[in-house]
Amino acid sequence: MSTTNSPLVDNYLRRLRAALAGLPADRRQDIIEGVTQHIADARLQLGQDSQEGDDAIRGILGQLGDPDVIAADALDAERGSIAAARPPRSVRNAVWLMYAGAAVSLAAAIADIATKNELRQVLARTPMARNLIGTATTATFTQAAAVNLAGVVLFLLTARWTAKGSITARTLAWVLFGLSTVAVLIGPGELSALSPGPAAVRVLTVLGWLAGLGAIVYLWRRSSTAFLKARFR
Amino acid sequence: MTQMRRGAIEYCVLALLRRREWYGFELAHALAEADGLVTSEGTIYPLLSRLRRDGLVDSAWRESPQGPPRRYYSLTTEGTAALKAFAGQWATFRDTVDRLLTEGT
Repeated sequence: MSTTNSPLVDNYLRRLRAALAGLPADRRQDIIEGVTQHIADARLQLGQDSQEGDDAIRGILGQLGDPDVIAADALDAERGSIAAARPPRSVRNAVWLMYAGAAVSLAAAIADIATKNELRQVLARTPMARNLIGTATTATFTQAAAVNLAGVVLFLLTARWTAKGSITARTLAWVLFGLSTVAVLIGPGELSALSPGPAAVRVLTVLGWLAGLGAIVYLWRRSSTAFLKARFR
Repeated sequence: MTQMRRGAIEYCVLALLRRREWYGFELAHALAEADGLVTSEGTIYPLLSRLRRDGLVDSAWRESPQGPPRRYYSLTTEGTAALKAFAGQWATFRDTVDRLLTEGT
């Protein structure tokens, strides 16, 4: 079988592979395999009644068409089917809430930094030894900022996975919601909505929790499940 | 290739597969021969890949009478049903377009 050992064929397949870069790896492999087999079959057929040379190979590749044309057609068809499988409203709402949650968490982190002095005054009113107030303020402030920034990252990651249509998004959503619930109920220090920390930080923390709750509710709608599972396949 | 043309060619492939199994090169050749239905033979491979993903065709590696083992394509039950539905819609569509093009009514 005379499949390879032709620089012309190798070059053609390399160009096709590069042009198909926008497709998932398994689909790309499928197409390359088909075209490789096609070239082998065409050469086999020619080999029986003609002298095989570079001109013959150019003829075969010419019939196949320019790699860019084949790839453009493949990608165009794929876009058509992806557009047809646009995420349902429930999924789009969940993604929207996650972006809102990321924004709220970021605002909470900023509010935390801005209210550091207020936090110190709050802690000063508690029956805490005077020499410990500075350390307690720094520890609480740092923890709160870290948790809020982790929230920003988690919200953005979950939104991304949801939009991509991966069922992993739901696992991430639960991790995020768990973290957020802990933050609201027992908090690290002032983060807790029930503790006497600065009001702005407390309100924003609760808003972030609500965004996470809303996203989870939307992700568990039947239409979301169908979308995420279908895409996962 | 326009969406309409591409869609029609997909059903032409399904129609060819109705009687027997074909391998890629044969299909590409048949479609290119059929009055230039396909100008770039290579476009058939993304098309076959889509049909397989959508469950309309199936494929299996098989020894051939001459030459190397090849991937043979066959029609699935879903493919048969899709082809049948298309054949009915196509006849109506074609007649309507023909009538408008020739008589303008």
